[in-house]
Amino acid sequence: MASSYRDRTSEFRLLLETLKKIGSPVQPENAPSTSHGESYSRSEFNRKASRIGLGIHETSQKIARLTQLARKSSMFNDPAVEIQELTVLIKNEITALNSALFDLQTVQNTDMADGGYSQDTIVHSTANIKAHENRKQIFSKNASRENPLQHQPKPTTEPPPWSNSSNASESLHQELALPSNGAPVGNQLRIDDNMDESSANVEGAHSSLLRHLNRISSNRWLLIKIFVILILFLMIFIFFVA
Amino acid sequence: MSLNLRQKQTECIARMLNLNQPLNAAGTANEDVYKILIYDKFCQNILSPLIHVKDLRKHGVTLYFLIDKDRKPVHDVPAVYFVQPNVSNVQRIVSDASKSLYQSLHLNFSTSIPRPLLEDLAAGTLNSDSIQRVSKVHDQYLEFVTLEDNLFSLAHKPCYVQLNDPSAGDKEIEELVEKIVGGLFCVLATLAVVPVIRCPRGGPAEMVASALDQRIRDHLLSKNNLFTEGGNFVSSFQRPVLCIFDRNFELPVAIQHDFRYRPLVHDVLGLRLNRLSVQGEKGGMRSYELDSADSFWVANGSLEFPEVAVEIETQLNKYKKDVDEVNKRTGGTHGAEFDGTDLIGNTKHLMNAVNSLPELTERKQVIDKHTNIATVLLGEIKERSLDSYAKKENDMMVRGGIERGDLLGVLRGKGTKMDKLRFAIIYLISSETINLSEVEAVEAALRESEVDTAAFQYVKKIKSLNVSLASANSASRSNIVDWAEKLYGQSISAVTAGVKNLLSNDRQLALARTVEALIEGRTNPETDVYLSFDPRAPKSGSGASSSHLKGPFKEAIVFMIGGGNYVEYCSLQELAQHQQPAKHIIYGTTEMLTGVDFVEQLTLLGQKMGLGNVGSSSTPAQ
Repeated sequence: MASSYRDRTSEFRLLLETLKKIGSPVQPENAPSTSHGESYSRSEFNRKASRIGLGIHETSQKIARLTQLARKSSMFNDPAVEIQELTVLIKNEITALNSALFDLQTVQNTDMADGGYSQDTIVHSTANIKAHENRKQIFSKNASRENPLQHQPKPTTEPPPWSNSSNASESLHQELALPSNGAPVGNQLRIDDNMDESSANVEGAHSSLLRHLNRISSNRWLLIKIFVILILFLMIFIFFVA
Repeated sequence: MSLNLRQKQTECIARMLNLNQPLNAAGTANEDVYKILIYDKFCQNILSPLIHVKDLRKHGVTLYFLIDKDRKPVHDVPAVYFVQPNVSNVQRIVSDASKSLYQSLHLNFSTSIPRPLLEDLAAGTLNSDSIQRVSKVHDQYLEFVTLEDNLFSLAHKPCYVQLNDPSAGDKEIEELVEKIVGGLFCVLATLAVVPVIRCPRGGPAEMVASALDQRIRDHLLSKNNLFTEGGNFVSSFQRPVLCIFDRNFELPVAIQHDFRYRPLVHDVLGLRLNRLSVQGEKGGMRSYELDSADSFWVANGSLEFPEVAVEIETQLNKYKKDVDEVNKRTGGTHGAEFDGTDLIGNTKHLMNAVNSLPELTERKQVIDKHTNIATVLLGEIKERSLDSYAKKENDMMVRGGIERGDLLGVLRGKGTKMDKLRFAIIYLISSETINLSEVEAVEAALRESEVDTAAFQYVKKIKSLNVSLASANSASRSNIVDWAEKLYGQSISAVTAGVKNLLSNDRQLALARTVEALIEGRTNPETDVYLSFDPRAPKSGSGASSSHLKGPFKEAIVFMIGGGNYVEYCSLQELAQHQQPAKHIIYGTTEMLTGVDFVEQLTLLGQKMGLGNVGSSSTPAQ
């Protein structure tokens, strides 16, 4: 396949060589002193930032897996133990990332003490911190699923302006005749209420299932009643048949 | 080979962000390599419809800046520059290199950097002793904005004024033509095709076509040219046709009101770079993105607005039905009483419901977006009577006239000043001959509405001086005759096509009809006199007309000089889909214009011509 870009680097190098030959040969009197200390410090900063980036990526992957596990709320294949283990692991990793960020801040403060102030470095760290906070929020969202809130469905208001229309021209005429100030609010509220109602229903059903299971499994008197009925049926059967 | 301009440009940008190395199999960069992206204003407009912030992160870009912004040094991080090759950007790069802001600089110019600028770059880095900072220099040939898969814009503004300015000199016209040719060359380089070029005789279209032909010829002669096909002989027989037109070819399209969803959103709400801001229902401004990721926009953008409203209603009903299905299956509506025997089944339904919630949420967001957009559009339509304007303007273009009472009634009725001015200009263009008393009545009505009549007078002047508008009008009107011929012909397919055209209730643009004739290679009295350029053919055979040049084409690139809009784009896409077999048409223009933008350029031209005796006596430079 043909490449749709052209490399001009060699042409650039040739130009540099030509200009070097044309230019006057100035011998460098003072060799430029390489800031080896600063370079080493920068490299260390970059390496730590890279490791933090990798850690954030891995933690976000674990959080995604935790989200999937939390969605699989099966009654008979409960991954609660795995969820708890993953939660503890994610907490530990977030704590470790926090420590690494503090170390990075220390390295940066050392650089600022050396006079290598860098605002973009702060922006760089801020980006990592923002990603970290985003991961925390995602984790908090997952934790909040354990406390479902009950929503009361709100009544829907007037229909959208283009409903009850049979053909194009009649639809257009209908739209032009309808007032437009109430339509968007009503339509927006309808969709929002539908979504809230659906979430509330799902959470309510989940709670009902759990409550019913607890009630059945902890009812001893129910067990005794079933046993007595069975015995009575057996005695009647033997008495009448024999 | 299928030409998908957006996909190809996105791939080129991803490769550029990956320091021009081959991408991984997963399509992501190595996570350990961080880099900084620096761009200028023009390249920001190129990137924003294609790349989002999370996509930048996927390619390892952690920071991105405008080149004119003051930036602090970030050592040990390579920088990727994506800028236009001009003097100020080169000076800025030299300054960055001399300050040792970054570990290395990977320079990517949006088009070919001229030799003198490259010499300035080399001299600057040599003088500041920062040669080792510059790692790579590339010409990317990406200097165009791709809005949709088959829609691009060169973002040159305002082209029409510069091309038709009576005081413009030859030097300025040639500079503008070279700029347009550079942009078109970038499009062809990204698509990696060498097209056959067709254009009408005379005017900017011929100038651009011949200059582009020469540019491609020069490039094919040089080594390592961009169009090497590596012995792939199959694709060389499937070359597309590039049809170049001037705005004066069909002036009414840029002015008249249209009633399809995509043109309406662009014309009324100001869609720009696939984004728009509308007044939300709570009073604040809401910003929306409309691109190929929005399936509703892709599927319904070409429908008339009433059909879009019906479609939104259909989608809403489908969504509510799905939500009711979820509610019914989970059984949460009727109290806490529960039947234990259906425990397993209900649990399965509950799992399905939880899995389907994200998809339902996403569909709700799309429906919300288009509901809000349609509501704002409806308000504008009612306030300005846009449906009446669109219908009456379409009638004028088809029948070539309008009753005087209707004409003056519209000019004194609802609508903004720009709406009335556009309506008056459409009346002027669609009239076969100028009725002086009616024109004076129209001008009086416009003055009553305090409308600046410079644009109206300019169009009146060029109509009396130029017959190209008249030919466009007669071409539009002869559409009915073409349909009649098909209907009365003996061929069943002709009758079917004619019935389909009549049933679609859509007048075909002259541009679409001309492009159809050029693609099919049929004998047509209008297009037979068109010029043909084949950059691959020998120069000596310029007079010979081989069948290769006029044969049927599978793919076409249509370019409009002086500004275009979504009306032409929708019309060409409909043409491509209705062809048997299906064709593929890419539409491009110097800039995407709303009707108001174009009329403002006409007003500017009218003022230029009206300012003094010398201006009024000269003819427009074409």
